Amino acid sequence: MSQVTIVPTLSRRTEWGRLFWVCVGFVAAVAITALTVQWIAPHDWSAQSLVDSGQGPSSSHWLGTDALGRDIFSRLLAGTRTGLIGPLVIAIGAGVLGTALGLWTGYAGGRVDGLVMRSIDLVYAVPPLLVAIVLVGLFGGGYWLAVVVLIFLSAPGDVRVVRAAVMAQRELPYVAAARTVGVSPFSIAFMHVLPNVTPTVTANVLLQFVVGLIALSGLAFLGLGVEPGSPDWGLMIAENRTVLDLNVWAVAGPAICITLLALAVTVIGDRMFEVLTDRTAAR
Amino acid sequence: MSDLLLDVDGLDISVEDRLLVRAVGLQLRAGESVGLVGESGSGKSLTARALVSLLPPGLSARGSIRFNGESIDPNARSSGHRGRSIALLMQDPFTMLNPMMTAGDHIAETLRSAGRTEGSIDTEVARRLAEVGITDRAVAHRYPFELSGGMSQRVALAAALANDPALLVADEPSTALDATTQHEVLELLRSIQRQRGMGLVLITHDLRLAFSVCDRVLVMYAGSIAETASSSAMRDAPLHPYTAGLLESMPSVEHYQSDLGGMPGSVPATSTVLDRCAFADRCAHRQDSCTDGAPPLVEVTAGRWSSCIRSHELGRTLAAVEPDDERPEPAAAADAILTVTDLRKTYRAKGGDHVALGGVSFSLAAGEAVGIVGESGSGKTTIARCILGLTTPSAGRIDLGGIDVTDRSALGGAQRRDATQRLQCVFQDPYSTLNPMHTVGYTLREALAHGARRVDDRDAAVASLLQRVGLASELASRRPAALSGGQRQRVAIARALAMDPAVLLCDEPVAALDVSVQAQVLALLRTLHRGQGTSLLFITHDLGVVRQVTDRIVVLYRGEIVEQGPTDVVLDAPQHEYTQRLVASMPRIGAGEPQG
Repeated sequence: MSQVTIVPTLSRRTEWGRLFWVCVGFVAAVAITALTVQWIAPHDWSAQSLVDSGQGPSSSHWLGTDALGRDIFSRLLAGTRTGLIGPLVIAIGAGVLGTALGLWTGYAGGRVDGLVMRSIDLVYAVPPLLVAIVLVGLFGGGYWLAVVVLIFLSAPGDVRVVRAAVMAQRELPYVAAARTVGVSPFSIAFMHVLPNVTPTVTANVLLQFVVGLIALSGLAFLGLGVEPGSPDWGLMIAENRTVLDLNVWAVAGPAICITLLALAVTVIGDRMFEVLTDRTAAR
Repeated sequence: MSDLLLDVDGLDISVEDRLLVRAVGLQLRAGESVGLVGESGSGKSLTARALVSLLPPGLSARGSIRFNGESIDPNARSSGHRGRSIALLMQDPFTMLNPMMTAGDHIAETLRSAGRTEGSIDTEVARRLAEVGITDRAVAHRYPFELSGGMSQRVALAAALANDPALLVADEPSTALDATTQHEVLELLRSIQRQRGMGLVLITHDLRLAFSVCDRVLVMYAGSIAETASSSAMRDAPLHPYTAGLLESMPSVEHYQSDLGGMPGSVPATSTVLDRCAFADRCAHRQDSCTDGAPPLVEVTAGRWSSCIRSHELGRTLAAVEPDDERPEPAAAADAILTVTDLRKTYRAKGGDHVALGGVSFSLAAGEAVGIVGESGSGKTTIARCILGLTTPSAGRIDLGGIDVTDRSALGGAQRRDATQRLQCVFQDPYSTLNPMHTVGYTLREALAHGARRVDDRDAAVASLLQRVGLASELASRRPAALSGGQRQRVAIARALAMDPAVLLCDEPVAALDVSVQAQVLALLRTLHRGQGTSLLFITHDLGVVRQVTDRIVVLYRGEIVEQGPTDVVLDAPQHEYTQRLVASMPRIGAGEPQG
């Protein structure tokens, strides 16, 4: 009765595409820069030189200097550190927390599900960035405090997304088959369901990276993130607003860096979701 | 020549440079019906889609299609004749209708495109619905979700016919429906086709069904035509070994077959068998010359074409014999291993409770094979879920060899393991019953790990399990995506066997498989039952399948048992009105005059 007429699957596998590899290349370059910045930066990024302050681009300072005469290009390179590490920790932290909770609530359902989901609705009811500002401000700021706060604020989103994906899998016969064989609920959730929701989890982690990058930069811009004086893209935009008329690059540089990194990671996440879904679903 | 409604010649369909359908020819006179029969991968659906210029993107067709003498471009993206003089009826009545449009809207839409005036549409819609047997005027205002499957299919048929097409292409129009509904829809289709003198191309995987509806039948295999003949001629004496194999593979409703037929292997991809007889590898009558070149479709006798080079000599050997084999004596009465007493299950639903099971009692003796037969909604799957512990019954008792398994969550760890050990299940859909992310080896090792038997060498145990279900041990490293439907169902059976269960519950285990593969799997289940004494609880809607596999059957209708008894007795002389209707609705090979 369920004889299905299958239109032959076309051998057209979803390909990664050129744009994906360009973005991977860009993110890799950012990562390498973050690791080697102390050797490759043309100037010491914290060395002040009031004589050279507020200069435009020149042969010695490629992107000019800021109000304290620090080399913008070197500071941009050094900014890759806080630009990568914080968002990465947020994405992975929230990803692990959210995926575990999402798997549990999505697979178990019932009372556990109700309790966790209502608490999450509560978290959703208040704007996350506002909470972050209040909490970080209350505890005196600092980069890592902001990271921890953002992990807890991002995790509920992950829970919802993973839970929805798990609920779709839960009804499939392979889960019933595993139950019939006697596999424990915990093993079914982690060994059977989790591999089948990896496309969603992967894409979600990468998306959280982008959200984390923008949130951290925003907090830094408000003076609630990194220590004053650190080479951070968000903070640079805030500090250098005063020299905007003297050196546009002091503000445009970090803004472009944030945008490009966010865009590249978004594209990677998007493509990974499509390609992984395609390969998981390939029958 | 000029009286041909449809004339297809040398139709090739390919994706990139891979050929999927090769040199298909098809002639249809006005008022004639032709069945296009084949298993999945035969190219029957693609051929049908080419007729209405609806090939999936990426596919292209070559060859000539002439409709009423006019040439049709199968690659055209514009609708051409489709919808105006050629109508298409699709398989799934539940997704074919737009959920946001009422039944009447669907028909009115077509009527409007045919240029009817707005004022006449209402009466016309009612007239069209009456034609397909819907006399209740209120149906026109209902949405698809308010209609049953059979009703939706009737509405879809009315909408397809609203333009008074000269040709109707019906792609498996009854496959998604229940047996009795299926019968009604096909009867309707046939009578409308006769009355209107309309041409009909019926695509189906069921040869018996094609015989009962169509004047002529084309059997397709791996993208090309194997045989074409009138229904009666082909039924009596197939000329191609594949047609004969298909006929043999179909489990008979009327009598027990000791040999279930079933051709070894599965349908190859068209592009891999271009220079030879596509069927040679599965053919019992193969000669060396069969693989020397692609055999042409030749006229063997008047009106009968076959692409087998041995058609002349094989003619008589292939003629369908009607074996009426003696069923082996069932094992001596043994103690019941599974007893279900007054099982009830009620689901809470909007607007009152929905009773899925209203007090069902039956038992299964050790070494016995019992079939549970019923249509969708009869509660047969609910019984399976209750027995497996996937859902808890509302009332009643399930006893599994001395363990009360009614509520599994109430069982202790050891007892639960014991219950798992005794009862295993083969699920319906081989495409989703295996986790796509795990290899066959992983799936089987996992099942072995949960069995009571201590297994020292898991890899060897996996290999022996695969061997028991007739698969090569190399398959252990593959993922389900690399396996065919029949292979996957064998793996699912192997997983159940890993536990050495006393009872094997089979929930429609062959419903999703092609006929030739279905026969292989049924033969395997029968061997397990006979050879190893495993008790079978076999849930199915297919009376042919229960006739072949089970000793006793239980007929379920709307959550209640209406009849039970020895298989042969119930099927030969059904007592209950519903069972009689069910038995009568089965398309059968030996059924008298097919043209009605």
